[in-house]
Amino acid sequence: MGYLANAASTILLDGFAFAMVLFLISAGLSLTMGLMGFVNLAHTAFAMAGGYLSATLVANLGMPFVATLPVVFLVVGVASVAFERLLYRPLYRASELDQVLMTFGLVLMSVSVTTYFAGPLPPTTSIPAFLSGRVDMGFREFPTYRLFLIVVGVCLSALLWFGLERTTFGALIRAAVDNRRMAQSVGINVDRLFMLAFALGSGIAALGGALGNELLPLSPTYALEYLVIILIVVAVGGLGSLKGTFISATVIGMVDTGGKYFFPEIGGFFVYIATLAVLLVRPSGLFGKQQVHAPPVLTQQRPGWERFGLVEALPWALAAVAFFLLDRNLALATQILIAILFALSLDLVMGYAGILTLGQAAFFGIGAYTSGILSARYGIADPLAGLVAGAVLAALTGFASGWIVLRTHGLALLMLTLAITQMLHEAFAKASAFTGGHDGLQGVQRSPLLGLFPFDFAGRTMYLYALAVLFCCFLAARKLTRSQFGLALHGIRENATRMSAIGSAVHLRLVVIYTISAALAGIAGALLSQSSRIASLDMIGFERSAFVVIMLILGGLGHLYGAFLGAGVYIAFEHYVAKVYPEYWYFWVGLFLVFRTMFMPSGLYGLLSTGLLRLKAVAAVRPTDRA
Amino acid sequence: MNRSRMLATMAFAALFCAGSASARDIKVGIVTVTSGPFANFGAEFKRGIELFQAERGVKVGDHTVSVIYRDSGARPDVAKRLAEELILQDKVDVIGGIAFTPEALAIAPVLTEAKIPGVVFNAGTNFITRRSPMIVRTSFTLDQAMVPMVDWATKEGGVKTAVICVTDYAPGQGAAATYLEEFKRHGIKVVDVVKMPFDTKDFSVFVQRIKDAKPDGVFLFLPNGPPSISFMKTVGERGLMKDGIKVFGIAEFTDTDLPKFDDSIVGAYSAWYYSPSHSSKENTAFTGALAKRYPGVVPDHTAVAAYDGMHVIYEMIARTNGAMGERAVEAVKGLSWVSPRGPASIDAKERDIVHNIYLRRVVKRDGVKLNEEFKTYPNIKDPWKERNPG
Repeated sequence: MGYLANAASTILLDGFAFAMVLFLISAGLSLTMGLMGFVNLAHTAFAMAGGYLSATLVANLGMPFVATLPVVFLVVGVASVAFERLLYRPLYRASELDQVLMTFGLVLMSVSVTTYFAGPLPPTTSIPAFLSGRVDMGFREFPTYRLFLIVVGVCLSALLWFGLERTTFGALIRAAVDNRRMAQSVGINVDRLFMLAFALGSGIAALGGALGNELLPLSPTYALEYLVIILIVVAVGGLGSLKGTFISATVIGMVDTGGKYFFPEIGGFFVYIATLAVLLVRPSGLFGKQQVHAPPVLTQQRPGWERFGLVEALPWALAAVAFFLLDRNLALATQILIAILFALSLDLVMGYAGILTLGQAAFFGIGAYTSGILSARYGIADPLAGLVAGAVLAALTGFASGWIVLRTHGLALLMLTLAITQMLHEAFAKASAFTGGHDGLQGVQRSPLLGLFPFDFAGRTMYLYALAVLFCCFLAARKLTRSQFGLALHGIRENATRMSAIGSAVHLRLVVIYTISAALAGIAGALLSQSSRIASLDMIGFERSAFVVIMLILGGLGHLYGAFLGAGVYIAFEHYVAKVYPEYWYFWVGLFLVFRTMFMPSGLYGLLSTGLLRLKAVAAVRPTDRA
Repeated sequence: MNRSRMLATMAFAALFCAGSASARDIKVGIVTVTSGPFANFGAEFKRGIELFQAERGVKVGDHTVSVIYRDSGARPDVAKRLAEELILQDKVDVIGGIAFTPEALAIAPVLTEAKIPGVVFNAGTNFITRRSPMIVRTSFTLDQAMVPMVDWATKEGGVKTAVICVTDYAPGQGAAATYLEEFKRHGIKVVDVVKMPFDTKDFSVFVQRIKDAKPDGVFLFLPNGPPSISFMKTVGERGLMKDGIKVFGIAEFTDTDLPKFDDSIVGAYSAWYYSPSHSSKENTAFTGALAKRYPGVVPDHTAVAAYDGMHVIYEMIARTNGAMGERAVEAVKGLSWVSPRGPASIDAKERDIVHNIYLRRVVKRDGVKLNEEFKTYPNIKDPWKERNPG
């Protein structure tokens, strides 16, 4: 068969099989997010549960594979209701960020729980004999199982479509997706509807996980690994639209397959390019509702102190004390300072400007690699030069990307920042001659700071240097947020439409703050590569972006000091728990995050400042005793 | 205490200890991977280490050996920080473990600076031992396996045309380069070179490409774990071997992985340094002890490398009477012993492992699939280092 025809049939058939699996897993999430606006990052964990359950039933009970499918659908669907009632329901009225935090905590826990019960290796899965082998289709052979996937996928899609378009239940769901308030006001029990839709979505995802284990192999880190592509399918398709998700899955499946067939070495890029192409032109996805610009749901409203309160000296005093107390642990302490700066940069865009982004690691990584490459490849080892270069390049990237993506908002913006970060990650991985690729950039040196202070093995110079940089950046951030500019940002965050109606240059202001925050993130990254003397790809990926968002939400947004609390607590917690439970520390960190959302709604900072206010109130009452 | 004072103190302590036979607490710091998709390496390290200490005890002479584990999650910056902490805070005398090349490269300068020996239990890139004079390796180098395998494939395997298929990252690129060089040496025609993105989950496109190219043989390198398992399943699914294409791998389908595949994998070739079915007195003892302590676990080369790594560490302690440091590395240059894998030694010049490489084929015996050795290439040193003297 001719080369091109071979290629075309591969892309169509393999791509479509992949698309079916993507669709099954994404459909539930699209419905959930469209129906209740609930950001469920743990959705892929239900798919994973389905896959593992099916594999276990086949391996341990000898159940035929096809029989496990309805079992998996029912069991996971029903089990998901327990999660919905206990953990998700309390957060329906909560901010998107709390939902992100809680569900991400669940994802981390799912990794450890799965490792505990099933071990770190992928489980043994097998296809039944009648589905293995190849089908001779005349013009070529094609694996039977993939054909089976296509058939099952199309049937299930048809069933879902029928259910949504032709049944009362479906009509109720569509009504609630279109306009929840209206649906409620005509007497539809939206809460119960959602519970059923959630169960359905989770059950279908479980099916997707079980059916798709050849394409999306099962492993304990499944929920984390496939989160990005599922989010992409959902965002590109449009929230709440089954048709959109189907078409989006098809597009993504074929683009990915086609890209990899023709250009295996840059195959990964195509999905992200497709994402950018769709979301820049149609931010609400192919078939999503055109959203009115809803103000971002950021509730932190506390006014800051105008002058330097005495309490503000506390974190710096702590940092100074740490220098003496932790003298054998300074590498860790430096990591904390760097994370604080990173989280601080994020706070400027998320806490103050209301921009939800998963792209902060792009700037962090650019800073890290710029400083590293300057030293390792060009011999310029002056740390301050590295800082400046990192900041400048990160800022330029921030400006360019911000200019393009800040025209969108909400989920579209989130996915665009994510896509850009992933593309940069791939680019850095490919340019291995320059960046060291997956081996990382080695041989980063640091000449003495200001020509006077050499960097010692115990890390003392590095710590003080990082502390000084953090202090300066913090002062700059503080000044910025309390300035006219900061006030304008506050206005944009509250209601961008109103702001632009009064003539405030919304887009320009957003780009400016995005650029400044990128510069700060770049400085943090440069510090990390100078501290660890390497630059590695994980400094510029999705996980690093995700973890800094988690740190900031943990601490509390919009306070600057939230960054201190969140980063400090998170890293210290991670470090000490990892020492005690090297295999399962993800579980405890995840549990901590869930706990924080359930019991500390305004973040650690909120908790602390409430406590402080109470103390102040008590102190204010006391003096009357003397009267 | 600044660095030079710290080193001076350590040197002084070493001298002091060398003179007298005072009993010490020797700490071994293991930089391992127990989280993330490659957490299996950490599990294997632990089995090898615990098995060794169960057999030999925790004492070497008067000294007591304790083991500390730290998880790097395969992140090189974390690995480096953990190595520094182990040395500065926990005061370890030797670092072991080190699953992946980026971690090894990150840790190497730390070992050199602190003059702490490092024993690599896994990372297999050829130049790792050149990155620090304190590094000793007990695992393998990829080139050791690839060179004999291509030799056999041409001379006895009947391969005249080949496709190279590797994961697109440094070890994979290195493997591709080695394969290309060997093919040129043996006059094999290279039909296609397929480099797959590192985080590929679904390999069907790539396997289809190999199939469409119709070579005599396809030569692989993928990291062992979820990627290699997924890849080999796809190879079976697409009927590559049924089409007459011979599959040559390295560690993509070890005995630990074989139960995960259906019988379509029977007939795949690989070249490697350890097979659980290797028949020798030492291996029988090893697999027996493993089965008793960890029932149901298939013996794995990573555990053997860790087991041998502990052997080397114990020798370091014994031969320097606990003093360790640079002398420990000197002491094990040229060390030779019989490992469960077969005869093994540490090359005196490069400090790298020298061992037998076995050509194996996947067969099914009594309903169980295993990699069966059918040809031995004895005492293979790392070919890359031999051709590129440092």
